Amino acid sequence: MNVVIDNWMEFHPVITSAELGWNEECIRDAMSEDPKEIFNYFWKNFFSIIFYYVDDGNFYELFMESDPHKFWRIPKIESWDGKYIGRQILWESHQEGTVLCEFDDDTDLWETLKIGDKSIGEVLTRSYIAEIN
Amino acid sequence: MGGRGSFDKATMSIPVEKRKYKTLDVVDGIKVIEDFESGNGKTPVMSNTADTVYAVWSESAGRIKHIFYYKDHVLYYSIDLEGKNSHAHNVYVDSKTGEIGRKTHDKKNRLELSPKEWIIVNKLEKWTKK
Repeated sequence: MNVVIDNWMEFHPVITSAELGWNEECIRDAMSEDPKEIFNYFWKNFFSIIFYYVDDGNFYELFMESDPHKFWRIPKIESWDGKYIGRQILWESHQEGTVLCEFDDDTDLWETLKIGDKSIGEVLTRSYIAEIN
Repeated sequence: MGGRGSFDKATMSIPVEKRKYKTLDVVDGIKVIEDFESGNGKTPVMSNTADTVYAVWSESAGRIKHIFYYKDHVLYYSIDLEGKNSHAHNVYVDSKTGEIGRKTHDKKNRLELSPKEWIIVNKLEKWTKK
């Protein structure tokens, strides 16, 4: 397993390639190993998802408590010292940042949601999924 | 505490190897727990104890972020601790699929806390991991 991040958080500094994408518990919850079905299971049951996209160094959130729902890039804390990647955002509450899209229950996010030219499926395989609630 | 697929109906419990949470403390009869793998984690939709309440510590946030209520091992109500913006959600179980989640476009599903809930929220927001 390759070390992808060695400065995630002070209590959990190392993230390996095996920790990117959906973990075992997510697979159990969704009762599927199909990434599309796992993704759809969580957002269609209205769990908000926060993930860190390794390839562009940003945090993103699918925020499911608004109507319409929103997908945004979480703002970085201006005073972030750069020491730990996970400390560049606030975790205390949902921080609306740059809204990249709004969507409703019927949106086919798996097919339409992209970051740059990467589909959400590709993005999530290169992301550390940090929080689902 | 665990995910939907972690509950073993044969033993009516979550097998030890599938439990991801450890108990840190008990505050007013509510267990304070944390996800020992990520320190952050996801909403555990199943409980090992049938009818119980858990407060979940987030190492990332440095405080308790949620209170989860379970009936017959299944999550049915949650409180998000966000200071004066703290609020609650009903959680629903799809009887056909067993899927657990919130109903969308249900604007009433961002619930005000009761006075009794505010008391416990205020207490838990002051709790700090030793």
